[in-house]
Amino acid sequence: MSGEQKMNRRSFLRGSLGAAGGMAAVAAALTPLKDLDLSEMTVDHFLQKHYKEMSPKEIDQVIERISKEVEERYDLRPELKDVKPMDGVEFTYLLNLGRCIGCRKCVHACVAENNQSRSPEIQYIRVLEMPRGSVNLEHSNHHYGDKKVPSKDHFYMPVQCHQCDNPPCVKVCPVEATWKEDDGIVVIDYDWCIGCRYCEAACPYWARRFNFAEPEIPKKDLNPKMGYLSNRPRHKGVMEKCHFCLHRTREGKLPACLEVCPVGARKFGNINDPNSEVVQILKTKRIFILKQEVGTKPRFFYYFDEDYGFGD
Amino acid sequence: MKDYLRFLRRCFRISFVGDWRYYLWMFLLSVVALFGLNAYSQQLVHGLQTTGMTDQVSWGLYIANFTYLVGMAAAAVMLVIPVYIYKNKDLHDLVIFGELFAVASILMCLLFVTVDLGRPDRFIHLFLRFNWPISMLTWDVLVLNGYLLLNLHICGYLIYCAYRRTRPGKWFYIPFVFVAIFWAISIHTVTAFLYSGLGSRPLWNSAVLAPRFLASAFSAGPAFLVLALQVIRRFSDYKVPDGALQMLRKIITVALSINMFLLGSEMFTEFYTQAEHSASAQYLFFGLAGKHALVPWIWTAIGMNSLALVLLFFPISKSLKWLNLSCALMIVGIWIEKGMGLIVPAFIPSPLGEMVEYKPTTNEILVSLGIWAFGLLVFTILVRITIPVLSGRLTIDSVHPAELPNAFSTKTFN
Amino acid sequence: MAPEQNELPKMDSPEKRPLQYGSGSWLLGPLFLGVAAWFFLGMKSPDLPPKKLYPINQSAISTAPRRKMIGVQPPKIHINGFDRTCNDCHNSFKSETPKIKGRLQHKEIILEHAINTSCFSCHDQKDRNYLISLKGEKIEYPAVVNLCAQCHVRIHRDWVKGSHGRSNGYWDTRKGPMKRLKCTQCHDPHQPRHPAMDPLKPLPGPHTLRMGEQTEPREEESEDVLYLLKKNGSGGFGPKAGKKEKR
Repeated sequence: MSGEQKMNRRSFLRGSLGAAGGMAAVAAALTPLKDLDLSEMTVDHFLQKHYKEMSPKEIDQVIERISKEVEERYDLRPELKDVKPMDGVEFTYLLNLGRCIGCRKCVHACVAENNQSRSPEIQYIRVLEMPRGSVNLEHSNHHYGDKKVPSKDHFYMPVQCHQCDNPPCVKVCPVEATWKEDDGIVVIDYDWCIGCRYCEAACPYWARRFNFAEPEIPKKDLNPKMGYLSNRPRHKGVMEKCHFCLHRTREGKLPACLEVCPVGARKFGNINDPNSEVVQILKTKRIFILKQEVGTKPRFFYYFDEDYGFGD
Repeated sequence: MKDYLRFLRRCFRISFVGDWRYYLWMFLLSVVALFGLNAYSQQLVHGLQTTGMTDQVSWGLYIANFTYLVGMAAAAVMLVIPVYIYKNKDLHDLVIFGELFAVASILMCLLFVTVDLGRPDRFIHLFLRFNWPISMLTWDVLVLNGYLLLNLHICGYLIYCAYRRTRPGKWFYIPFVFVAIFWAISIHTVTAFLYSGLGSRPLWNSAVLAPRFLASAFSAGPAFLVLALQVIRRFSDYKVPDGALQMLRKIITVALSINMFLLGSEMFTEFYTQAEHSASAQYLFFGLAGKHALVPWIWTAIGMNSLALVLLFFPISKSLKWLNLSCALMIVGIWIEKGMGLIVPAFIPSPLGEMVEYKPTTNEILVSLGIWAFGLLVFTILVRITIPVLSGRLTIDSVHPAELPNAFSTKTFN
Repeated sequence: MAPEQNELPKMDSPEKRPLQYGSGSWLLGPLFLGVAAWFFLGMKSPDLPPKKLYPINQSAISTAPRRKMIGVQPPKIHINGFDRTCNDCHNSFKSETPKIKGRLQHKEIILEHAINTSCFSCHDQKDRNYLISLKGEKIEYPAVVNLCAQCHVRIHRDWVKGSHGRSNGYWDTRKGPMKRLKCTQCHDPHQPRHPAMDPLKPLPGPHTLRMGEQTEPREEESEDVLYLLKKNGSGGFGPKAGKKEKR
């Protein structure tokens, strides 16, 4: 019997030594987690419902909570609103390819308006410089800037979210964190996205951006006028993209990128209003749809002026 | 029920028992897995910037491994079909290892998808708003978990029956086996559709992708099993007949030929038309605009696969030495071709024509290695449990000496 | 190990027996502790991409018209610390009537007091707080569009429809006004070229994560649909190609 007891003891010792070592190793391997930001791991966050399932009251509560969080982080009380689509309005964006000079003001105005991360840098609009005489994206230059624009041999094509009517990004999202609103804007619930980046792979316009790191915005640069589905600050691990400045446009204003365009190449309006600029242009101008062959039916069109004669 | 809990307890205990080689192997795997865990906790803290992924190349090593492993999981069906449909005798007792490997592979797949998520803490959202049947990713979640359950049921049931020394009731598992055959094909088809359904990525947007996936899976998966079975044969007294390995060799040969043929068809279409859409393929095979990070990789893969195929075509591969070589070649070759060689180049150039290359970071590689190590750990434990049970040494009435040191063997005492 | 095991008495429940670990199992615990120690001591933070803040230059994105203009007001001259309109002097001093050389009077304008020959194509000679149409009707400065529209008919039509020129403010005019810039807020009527549209340094380009060194894109002739033109030496586009610079 003593042999068995000895066995027992030895066996137990070995077992517990191994188990202790193993646990210690697991615990040690997990030590980096001590730096984990737990501010988003509260019960409220876990229990928050999908945007579409929240009652107006619940949305108000969430808005209140988010406002507090923003205030804590940026020392600034935001005017956060949940702006709903307007009845009978469907937005359309038009861009005059003949006019764009590639100055990138729209890109930067967008970042300032929509509280994108400045580090790492996130921009919704990409301006492509392409040789005249072809629209070959694979020969586009995204990084021009040494010389003055416009260059005589090139034309410029800003690309941003086309708010497709048949959006592939919405189709592929496994958790319905992105959807098309009644006014045609494709939005993202930043609190619902799980960050699988399938939508980023699905977008033919490369319009979606992922927060690979916690976004950083200088406190003084935060735009306090925020929309729930648009420019409120995002966190790491979620997607974001252009939303036609819906916190502005749903209140009748023009988007930030349009307001800043020095040449008036950008046009925005309601396609259901026959007197709007956009309808007039769509009816009379030559329209070009980027990547029409992918069949996503964009709401963003490029157009050209005819040759006016006169040299202008 | 009590019996079943006791069975589980004994399984748990036995997985800690083995000889020094077993311990060394398990220790190494655990250490690599721990390094992976460590790297993953870094990723949780810093976000996905710890990986080499960018907005341009938004999927990388994780999804590449995921794709590859879905194939490995599906490959179990290549053992099931000969046994259950063609009544192959040699493979009969080995099917279970294929299924166990499928279990381990699916676990790895699920882990790879999880580590790829930006917000794993919101995993629960999958259950709250599931975009099924529109999103192919939801299909993938369903079929992968379904396949995991199917295989767990089949393996678990057969092993438990062997443990209880009862004949497995046909109706309790045969229907599941046949469902699993179709299910295995579906998991890889669905995974291929995940990519081929995207009009924005011309490299993927090809009808031949699903057949290609299946063909490559049915060559790399059985190739892995050929190697694993020989390890089992070497370290235990479990009978692995040569006939079984030769049968697998035939399967691999056919599957790999089809895979190479499909790859060739794809290349022809891409390069003969020389359309604008072939830019990604151009980048992959020849480099584009002075960037050619993937060129050596893909040609290595093609070289390895071709060499493996040539070896298999010659009778020389009937000798296990050469068979093993070609299996090893093709496991790596297909990993490159299907993982890094298919997922990454689809993002280069970006849909707007920007060329940003992808290079996995150390952290990302550690996480991936950790998942692989964890998967192999699981597979080893499953095999460790299965062998004594199936060979009748660990049964409900065995009191002694089932839990023995020598890795898988009880030779000393029988 | 083996002899001990053989001496074991038969037991009913295998769980009650101690586990028979294999050789080397003693080492596992310490080894794992070693790994744990390594994680604590030898751990490095992962290679993160360099952190650099790219702030936005607010002044570069102002929505003010690029031509900071008088634009739609009668011109003023700053003399001896006072703003004066043309009429202040020219009500008493009448200047010569220059010949109108035709309609395209943007061409040879030198903006220097008193040496111009074509001011009165557009400016009213009698009341210099007004512009004048080709038919001799007075046009107020804020209505400068009507003046330009006399010749630039099609552009004017596009401007009216909204496709030409800048709009600011509200797209929904029920909510607020849509401000339309007038011709002279962008174009300088005294020069046919548009200084407001002159080439400028673009704002900085993208610096996305792990973007790496960006090279100028490749120029492959065959991809340019005009390459046939170029090959045949007929010029194509470029500084020499067209005399008119269209913007």
